[in-house]
Amino acid sequence: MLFFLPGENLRMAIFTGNARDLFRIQLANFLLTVATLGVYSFWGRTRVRQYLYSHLELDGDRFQYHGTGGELLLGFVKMVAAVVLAFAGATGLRLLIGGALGEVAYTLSIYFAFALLVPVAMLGSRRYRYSRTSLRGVRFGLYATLREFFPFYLKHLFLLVITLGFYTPVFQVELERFLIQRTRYGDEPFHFDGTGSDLFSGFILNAILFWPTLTLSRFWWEARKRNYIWTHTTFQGVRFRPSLDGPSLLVLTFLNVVLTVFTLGLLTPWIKVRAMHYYAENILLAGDLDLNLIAQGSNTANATGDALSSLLDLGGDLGL
Amino acid sequence: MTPTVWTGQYYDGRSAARHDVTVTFEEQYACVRPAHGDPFPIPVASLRLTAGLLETEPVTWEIGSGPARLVIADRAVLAEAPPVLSRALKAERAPLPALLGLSGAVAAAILAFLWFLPALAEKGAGFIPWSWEERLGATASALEFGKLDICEDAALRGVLDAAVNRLAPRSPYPIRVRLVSSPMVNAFALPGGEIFIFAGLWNRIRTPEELAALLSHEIQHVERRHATKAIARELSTSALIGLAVGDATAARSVMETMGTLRALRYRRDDEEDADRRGLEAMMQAGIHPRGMVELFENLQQVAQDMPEGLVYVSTHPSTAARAALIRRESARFAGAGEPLVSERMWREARAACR
Ligand SMILES: [Zn+2]
Repeated sequence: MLFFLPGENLRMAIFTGNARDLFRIQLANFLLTVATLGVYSFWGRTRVRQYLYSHLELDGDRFQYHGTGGELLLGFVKMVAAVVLAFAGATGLRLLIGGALGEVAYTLSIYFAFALLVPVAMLGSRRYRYSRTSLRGVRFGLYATLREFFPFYLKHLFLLVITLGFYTPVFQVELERFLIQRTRYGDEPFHFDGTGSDLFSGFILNAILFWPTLTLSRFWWEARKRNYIWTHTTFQGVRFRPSLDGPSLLVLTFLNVVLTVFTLGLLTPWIKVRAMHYYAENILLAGDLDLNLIAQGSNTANATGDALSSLLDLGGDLGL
Repeated sequence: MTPTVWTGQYYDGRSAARHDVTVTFEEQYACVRPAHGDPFPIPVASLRLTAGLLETEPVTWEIGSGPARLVIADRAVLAEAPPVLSRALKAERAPLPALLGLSGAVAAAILAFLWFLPALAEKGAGFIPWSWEERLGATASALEFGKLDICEDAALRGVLDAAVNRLAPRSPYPIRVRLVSSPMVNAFALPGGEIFIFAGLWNRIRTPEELAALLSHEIQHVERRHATKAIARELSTSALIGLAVGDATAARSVMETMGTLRALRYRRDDEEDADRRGLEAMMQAGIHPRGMVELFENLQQVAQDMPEGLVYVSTHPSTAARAALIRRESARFAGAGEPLVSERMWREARAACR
């Protein structure tokens, strides 16, 4: 549903891709992935992203995805090395300490290592994807380092634990604030002006309805949260105007799961295209952008976090 | 012929400004004429096609290493521009030949893991000196079976020794058979010649020929080095798994399951081998092979009677294939057969370890 308010200049991105072309790409990916024992999947994922980005149009310009399969493969190798190192370190600790205490140390250090990998994945995947996305020849970027993200993440994780989870909405909003404030298109930053307490009632409502609705209430909560975050995001003073709704997110997720499970993912292009249309039509820009004066930014990022997040499945966004 | 004039957009990669331009192509250059400003050339060699091979995409070239780009919506340009411009650069593609070659190598490695390596280890086991095998068996015996309650009885010893002397007169291994006072229905052979029969199985044996059949089968396990070879196969592959995937991963359990399935196949082959050669040894010793048939039927009965604690039956399943093999091979025996021991000796031995 779209709300066109009088006197407001609403802009919408248009998705021009179709499921048939995406299906051909995914079919080729599937066959090559099988023939190369899975290694091709990095190039396959890249091709899908290229297709989806290059068919998303804003004001007559297409987005572009610059990532390569080789980068994803390298990221994956680094990630595997990190996991192996973590296990090796933990095993060393177990042998060094020995006995029942050694077992405890082993388990704790594994949990600890994975707790550290989550923020690496969170930051890394966004940083990589933004740095590989451009519009009108100018790249996006997330200008944040692990050095500043780690203390931030650990502090909020601590608050989350000691408040027994009631801090969740604030945590999620603060996380977005951290990431969005450091996101730029060229040299122009995005801004965020939300506060976590605004989401508290929605969070409590979801907590109450979660089990009685067989967890389905989370889709309404998700829609509300995303709408809130988009609404409070601005670029050049122009605000986003989202209208995501629970039932649509529920249907998109449900169909995606069904198609992935029952067709080995081969028929997911239909749902991916539908999702692209849905997001494009339901996240609008309220106002005019002036992109002409925006200069190229400078940023570099590698793909380790991207590989990690796909392993830990933090993406959760229909693989877009 | 005048070159076609294409309309498009040029982005310089320094700012997000969009420049509407017209473009004409020559052999080496794309001549770009902005609506405002001076025309300039772009070397064809620095243009890299990043989109436009699909009908739904405008033709897009990245300039140099990007992100500057030139976009022409009319896809007819691909047919008229220099041919090099309509090919995506190789750097963007997956190194497919290398990947396919690598997967072939990995597949070969898996084959090696499943067949070649165990076969090699088994061949290697064939060269292990007998004395090593004896020591291996003795170690296992001391470690695992030292606690077993062995039943000693002179009459029984006489029968067992007589059977071993008849069935394996020239064995390189010092075959030693012992009876374990345990209700388990089981028997097995260790590398090096140590054979254990459990009382649960001993009590089920009805005739000297059945005993001879059981021992003949187990002696073949020793002489054909089945246990040693199985150990070699398992050690070789578990060492490989350890090298490949390290500790405590899902991959390890998957590979070990594959290894177990393979071990089952080998074990079935070993059992048939022991059956066939065991029968052969019985016939050469002049013992009537119907003992093997009877033992087989006896064990089938055991399987029906008592579904629990059937260790021997579970490692020696009464398959139709085994039954057919035993019946067919034993039918070749013509004579009446010489009894293994006298009636009296058998009766005395049967009374032992009840
Ligand atoms: Zn056997």
